[in-house]
Amino acid sequence: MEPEIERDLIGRLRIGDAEAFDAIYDAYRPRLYAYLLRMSRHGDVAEDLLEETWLRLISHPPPAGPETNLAAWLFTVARNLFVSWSRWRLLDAERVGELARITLRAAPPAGPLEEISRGERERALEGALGRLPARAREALLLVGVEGMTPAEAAAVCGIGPEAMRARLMRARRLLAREMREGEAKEER
Amino acid sequence: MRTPEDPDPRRDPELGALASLPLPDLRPEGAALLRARCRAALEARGGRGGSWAALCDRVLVPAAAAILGGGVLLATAVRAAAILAAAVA
Repeated sequence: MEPEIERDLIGRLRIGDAEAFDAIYDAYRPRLYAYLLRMSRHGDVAEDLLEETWLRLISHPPPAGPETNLAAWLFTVARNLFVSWSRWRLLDAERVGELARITLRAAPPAGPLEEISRGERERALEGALGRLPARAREALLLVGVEGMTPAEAAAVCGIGPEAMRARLMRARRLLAREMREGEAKEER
Repeated sequence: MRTPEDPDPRRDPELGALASLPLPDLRPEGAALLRARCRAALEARGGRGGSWAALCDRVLVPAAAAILGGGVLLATAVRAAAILAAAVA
């Protein structure tokens, strides 16, 4: 979406224009849902976090200034909600003594992701992505899927651009290794 | 902006494969329900917050920017005049 169009939509949303909300919703819903689903690996969690993201946009919309990047704003909100959910989940797991069983690394594959994978290669890639640590996965999702620059992804994650470049490099290596190991397992 | 050391997603094997993954989405009825809930929240937020936001965007922020900009311009002009006066004297 062109920055001028986004600014206009944000300005209209701020004065309560429902059509402006619809335009933003249609443009970003699949992207945000995909990000949240691939991060949480749970369809129902992704839906809850997605709804909360939209409610934040409605209750506290970003300013309609030239410096506002709507995609970065929405992904930052979605990411913060995911991080809060992850912390809550870990605390909850600790409370019931299940911490050892539940880790982000061993997240189960999500149903909707398996449903939409068109071929073996895509299923393998989704599987490998799901086995990565959350930080590596989010770097790959923001840069690889969303097409953000490392600097933009760094802003979303609240880290410096250099830290994001290093994280991205490690994440690419990890993904390549997971893919190779997955292929080796299938050959056996 | 992408710097020369940043990987180009189109040429990078891992990132290129990720870019071609299909985007999962809500089922149509789920997407419609969520839209309806959000629109209700937008309506409930009402005109008050919206009007205030509009006032900020269209009047207060530009006015503040103009006052600040004018101040800076005036200060620069005064300083330039002072420098000029000192040079002449």
